[in-house]
Amino acid sequence: MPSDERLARVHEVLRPRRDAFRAALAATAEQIRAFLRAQRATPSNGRGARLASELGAFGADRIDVTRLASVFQAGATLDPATNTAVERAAATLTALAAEGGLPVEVDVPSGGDLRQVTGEALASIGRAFGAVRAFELARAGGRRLEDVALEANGLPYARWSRGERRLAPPLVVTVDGADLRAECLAEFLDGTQQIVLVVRGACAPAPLVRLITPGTFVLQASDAAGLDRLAAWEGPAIAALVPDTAARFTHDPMGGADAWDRLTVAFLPERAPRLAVGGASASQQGEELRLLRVLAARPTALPAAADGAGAVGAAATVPADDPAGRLAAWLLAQADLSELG
Amino acid sequence: MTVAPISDTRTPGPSAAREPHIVRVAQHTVEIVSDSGEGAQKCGQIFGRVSAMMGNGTWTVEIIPAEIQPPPRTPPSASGNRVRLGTRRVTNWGDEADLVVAFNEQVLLHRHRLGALREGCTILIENWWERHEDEAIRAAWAEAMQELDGHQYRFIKVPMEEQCLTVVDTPRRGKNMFVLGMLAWIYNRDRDKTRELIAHEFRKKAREILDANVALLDLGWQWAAEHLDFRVEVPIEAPTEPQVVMNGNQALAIGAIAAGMDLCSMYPITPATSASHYLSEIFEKYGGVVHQAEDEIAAIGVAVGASYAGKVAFTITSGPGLALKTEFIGLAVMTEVPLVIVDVQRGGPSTGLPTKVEQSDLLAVLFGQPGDAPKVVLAPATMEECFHVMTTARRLAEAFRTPVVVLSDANLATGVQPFPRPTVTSDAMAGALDLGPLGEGFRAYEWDAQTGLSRRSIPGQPGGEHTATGLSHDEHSRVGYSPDVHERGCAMRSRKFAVLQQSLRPPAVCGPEAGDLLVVGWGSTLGAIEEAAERARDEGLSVSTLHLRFLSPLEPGLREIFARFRTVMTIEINYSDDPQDPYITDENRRRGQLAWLLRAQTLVDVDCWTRVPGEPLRPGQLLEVMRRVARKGGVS
Repeated sequence: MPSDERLARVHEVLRPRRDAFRAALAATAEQIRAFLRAQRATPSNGRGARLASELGAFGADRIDVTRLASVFQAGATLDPATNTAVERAAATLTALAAEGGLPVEVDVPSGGDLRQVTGEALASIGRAFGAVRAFELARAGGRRLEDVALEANGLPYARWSRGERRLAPPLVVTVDGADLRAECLAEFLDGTQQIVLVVRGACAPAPLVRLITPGTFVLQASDAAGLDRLAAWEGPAIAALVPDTAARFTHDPMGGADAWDRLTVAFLPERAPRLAVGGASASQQGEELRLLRVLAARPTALPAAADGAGAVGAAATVPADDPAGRLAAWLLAQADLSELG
Repeated sequence: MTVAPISDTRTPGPSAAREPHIVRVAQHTVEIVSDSGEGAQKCGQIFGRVSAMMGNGTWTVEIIPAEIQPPPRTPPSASGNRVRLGTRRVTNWGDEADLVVAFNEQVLLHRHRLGALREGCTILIENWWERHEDEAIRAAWAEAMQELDGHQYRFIKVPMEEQCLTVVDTPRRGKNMFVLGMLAWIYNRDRDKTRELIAHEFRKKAREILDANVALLDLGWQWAAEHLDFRVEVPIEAPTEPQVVMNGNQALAIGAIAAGMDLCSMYPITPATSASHYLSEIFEKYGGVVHQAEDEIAAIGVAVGASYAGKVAFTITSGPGLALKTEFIGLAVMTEVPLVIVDVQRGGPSTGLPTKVEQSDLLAVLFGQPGDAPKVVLAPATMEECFHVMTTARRLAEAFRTPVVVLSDANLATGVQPFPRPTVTSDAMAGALDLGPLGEGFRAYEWDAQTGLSRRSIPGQPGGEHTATGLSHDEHSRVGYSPDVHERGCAMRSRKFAVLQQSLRPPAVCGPEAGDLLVVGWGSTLGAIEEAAERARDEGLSVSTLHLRFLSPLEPGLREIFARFRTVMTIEINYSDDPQDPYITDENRRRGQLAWLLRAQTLVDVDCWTRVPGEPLRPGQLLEVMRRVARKGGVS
């Protein structure tokens, strides 16, 4: 098992976002209950006070709410089936919002399927979205309530909407290095989904490199030090805490337009992999390392983005604003054979 | 405070580092002015916020040039912020500044010519221009100083450029933080809080940029500590309840979230844009969406459509945008689609004064549509009310199936004020509709014959199917062909407003319940009017005030209240003819917009005093008016 200290640090960093999600669930549950209270309110049963609350301070200070309430007829009440569906939605959200109600950490048993375990955990989180959908549909007349009831039991990530994917809380997954085929997680990296993998035992040297895309924050590190930046990133993000022998790098989408500006490699293993790890052959692992090198390689004729106006040397011969010059420099960089020497 | 004539101006040396003289005052007003783009506004905003967070009463007003990029080093380029601090709550920007920080002499001249500087005020001015290599600039400096000579200003020359060059290569982008550091020292602001606000401001920038700005802040603090011979202490009376600090546009945006709104559909227009920009940063986290449409008309069209479909929608704009939305507002009235329309007023007509305050949209909002198109009009008077008004607007729109217009203005939009942290309730966020079964024979406009109220349905709701139309229609939403259909529809849509009006409480009079003069106002002038009236009462004058928040329907009991005063007049930031001007008679005089409305509604001879200076009214200016009117019995 990964050390408790590492896990504790991971959870500490991810807690604010998770707490915000829980708070949103609790608020939504309260909204649903407010809806139910409104359905049940009558003039003799606090309707005026409720109207004052609905009007807010600006209106309540200036409106005689009792008088105003008297001109509105009581609304129709929900039918029993719809009422049950709405109550169930509120209960689901309340349960998920409670401490321990939300899947925050899942374990992939040795030899297990990382994609399946992660997918199931996210589907479980998706119960929250299913509950909200159930509420919305119930309010809209109770249509398709049977389908909604199923969704409330688990909503797969593939069926989450764009908005739901931007709300999702982070997830921590503990996994054996041998079972770490991170590319299978690409389908879950959307919206602001954050996944942190805490790896047990030996793993491939650069298992996350295949997940690098311009808008995805990717961190491979041996400790939790870089997780603050991941937590602050408002986009899809994945991190793996790997053994010291693996590569350590950060791909930060805020770094710039080019891969080499976004990618910072802190450590690269000197020796090429020679043994398979789990299902990953030495050749596959080597490919991942090469990909990492290629992505990180800055064309030798280009200045670093951070050098700014003060950059000298090669930049003087290749104007930064000349696209043809930049392309030529990049092509030359690709042909750089210095490593062979 | 020490006052020295202009001939004494000099750059203070480190010898001034002796124990500074502490000026202890109950309130103090500081202005920071620069060329547009030099960051004086940001400096003032952060200074205002940190002051408010520390517990000082605070009111800020942005000084914004009329153009986006006016020529630098010209008077019209003056851009910045006025911050009025007080031991107690501050409700307006005051009269003149006590302390000014000017990045060049031309922007200072602009403020001087507007009468914004108090005789005796202290001016901290960048001295680089005085010895600039360009002879024309040196000449302009000398000429400006000549114009300023003869006034009792105390000049302190500050080597801002020289100092900032020790930290950054381009002081134009750093002087504002140096100045913030100086102000932080002068007013003894909390440096950690100031750093936190700077960090927040630059949260999307590289770390080096933040570090440079913090270094400039520290440099400004250090320079002031070593060279200035005075500090200002505005004692703090800590508020008894937790406060929040924001400007009116932020309050509107957060208020929209607290009101349970789902959609803000907008098109950028000054000074409303910052509300939707702010909202776009946070709305999605609360399940909302900001939709930037291709134009103003599309923006309100989307909002009307979303509301028709059952969402809680609003649109936000300013005068010129409101003009474009006219037809869709009429559609919302006719189809009885709930809709909140926020109009952050600016100077008009046409593109007018995009960045300046005015209260000129009242009559356009009330009567801008052809045909009879009644709607609710609300006018928040403070930043705090900007927050709360959104909840009320939403609920009234839904309860009465009508557009509700919220009239804010540029003064509220950009000014910052602390106010008690609002309590948010889930009741205010509850769903828009009762979507229970509609029952047999439901009609789209099932008007109650007494109240004109009817239950709303949305597309797809079982039993609620109907065709919505902007044509005059009957209860079934069928186009009317008989003579009485339009008559009845108009009557039902109008009746709702009588119902609402009868639910309103009479407005409160501030000051004596009867007397010589009652000043009636609306919107952001509240603080200036009430401060002026209080000063007038201190002088023994019989002046009361009444500030309206409901402008349609008007709050009840006005005629009875007006009858208790010898003179009733409005004070507004919109145009009215001066009764002394050529050709102007009592019969043809065009009056302030609220005065116009009150005269029509109450048949009381309501007078008015209005101005359109493009800036908030000053309490001292209003006090003069009140003195004159209270003694004479009329504006003329």
